[in-house]
Amino acid sequence: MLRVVKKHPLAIRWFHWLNFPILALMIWSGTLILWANDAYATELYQVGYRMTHGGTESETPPKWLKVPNQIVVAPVFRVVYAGDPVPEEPRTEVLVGYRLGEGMAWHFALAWLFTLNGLGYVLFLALSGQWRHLLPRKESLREAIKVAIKDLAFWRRLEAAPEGLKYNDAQRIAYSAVVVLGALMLVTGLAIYKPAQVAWLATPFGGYQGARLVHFVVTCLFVVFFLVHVSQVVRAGWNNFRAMLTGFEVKAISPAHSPSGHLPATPLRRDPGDPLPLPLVPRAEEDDKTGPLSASLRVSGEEDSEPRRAGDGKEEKEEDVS
Amino acid sequence: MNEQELSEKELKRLSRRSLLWSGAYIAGGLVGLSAFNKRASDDGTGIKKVFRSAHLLNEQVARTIFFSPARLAPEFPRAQAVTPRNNYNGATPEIDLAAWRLDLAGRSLTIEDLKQLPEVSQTTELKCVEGWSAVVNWSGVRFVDLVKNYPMPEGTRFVSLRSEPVGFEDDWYYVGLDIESALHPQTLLAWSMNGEALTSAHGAPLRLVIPHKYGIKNIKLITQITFESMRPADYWADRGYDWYAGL
Repeated sequence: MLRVVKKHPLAIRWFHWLNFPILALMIWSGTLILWANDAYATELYQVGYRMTHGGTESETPPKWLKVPNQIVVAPVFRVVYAGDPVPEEPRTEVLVGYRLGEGMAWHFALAWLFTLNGLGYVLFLALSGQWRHLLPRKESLREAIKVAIKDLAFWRRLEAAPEGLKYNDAQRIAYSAVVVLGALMLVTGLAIYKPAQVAWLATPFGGYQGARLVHFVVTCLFVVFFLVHVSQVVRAGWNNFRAMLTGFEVKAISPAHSPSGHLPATPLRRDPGDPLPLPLVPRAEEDDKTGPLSASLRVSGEEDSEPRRAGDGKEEKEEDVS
Repeated sequence: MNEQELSEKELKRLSRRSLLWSGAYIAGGLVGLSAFNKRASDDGTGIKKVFRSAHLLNEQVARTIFFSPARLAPEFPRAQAVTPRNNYNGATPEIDLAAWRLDLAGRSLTIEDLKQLPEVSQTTELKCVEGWSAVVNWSGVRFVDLVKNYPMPEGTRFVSLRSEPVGFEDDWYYVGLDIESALHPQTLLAWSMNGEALTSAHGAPLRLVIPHKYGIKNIKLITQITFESMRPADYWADRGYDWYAGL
């Protein structure tokens, strides 16, 4: 039986879609800051080189560690470093060096939005109960490995999350991890923003440069998350993606499924225009918790934050069958 | 019927509506961003006015929440000190050190006058706005001890420090400080680095060491200090950077 059920509350969709451009601009302005000077990337490289080459430094660190002179976007994308020949041709280029002041201006203004949006999201998860869908469970690690191995078969469609659950265990781990990454971003960001006044913040990361390194590595992890996330969303298909826009997804649900307890068996929803009234169902108890398991098993967003839409059968209430 | 379920017809309607919203969101974002980049007015230093306001807001937050003279920048063992790079933008000014005088709000001081004041030594991390940092040992007089001996006028809220060596007019440099930062116990007027007298590359004969500001505020070869009631000019703030630059 196909049913259209609520998946993502409005608030989560807004937090998600606001975070995307904010984080993108944070990474871009952070890159302008990183590219203010070659010293940092080069030093990182030399640390690695010393460890693998008995303490000697590389005479010729790779060119791509340097700040590019410009990034040519058209007609052919390429990155031009100091000393590279630049042929005479009409081209579109992006200057990336010598934009530190601009990078800092964007970074320290947007950091507020990134922080507020992130705190809002975490607060919403906590208060709405949505964290239950997100936090890893005891068996999550084992299950997530199974999911990850299955998902490696890139020619196959992704399997839907187990019936009655919003996310599979790999998603639980990934989406919880990304919240942790966000928190690390905030803490290391503050640590390198005020390394004198709140020096203790940098201590767990090994001081100022350590906190800078973690800030940079976490950025890279965000980029990795983004790439995997987008490829998985593409593979999961339209129904899944649409849910992040509309909040609703189409689900195949067997009405006889209640024994495993995920979804209450309910009659098929009628169109508002249908002439037949719904069968009368007894009103649910004031407390619609259906048992000790219900909290973790409820699916389609009882904790929803969206206002009820006018004319959408507001007199009717569906019984939650335990 | 609860609102957690829709008919497929309603879903189609909702999808259409959501797609329109998404389109408007993306188009609005891109148009807004490009309009902002092209149209939003510059404050005359190379950044948008709104970013200057954001810097000033952040400065307010930093001065009220973060800053305290009791909060010290980390200090390091003397043995960890290294020689920082010479970050002079243009030429390194070589001057006649014997002829050097500090103009302290109209009063002319020699380096010997300054060395009469209590000398302190500290090993702190110099942090460049471009990202590199270096642990360095400095010796000199605390700025707060300087103003104890040469009192500043009442109503002083800022300090202006200038480096204007004759013959190097193209590379003159100037720094503005809020008075709280200037009077912080780790703010030094230093004459030696890692146990040796400062060299020209590092600001001989007298430079500012202020570990709770970026390197851009650690002005070398100071020739003049004045006490101000209004926010003084600052070389890099005039070139699109945050005036406060506090760490």
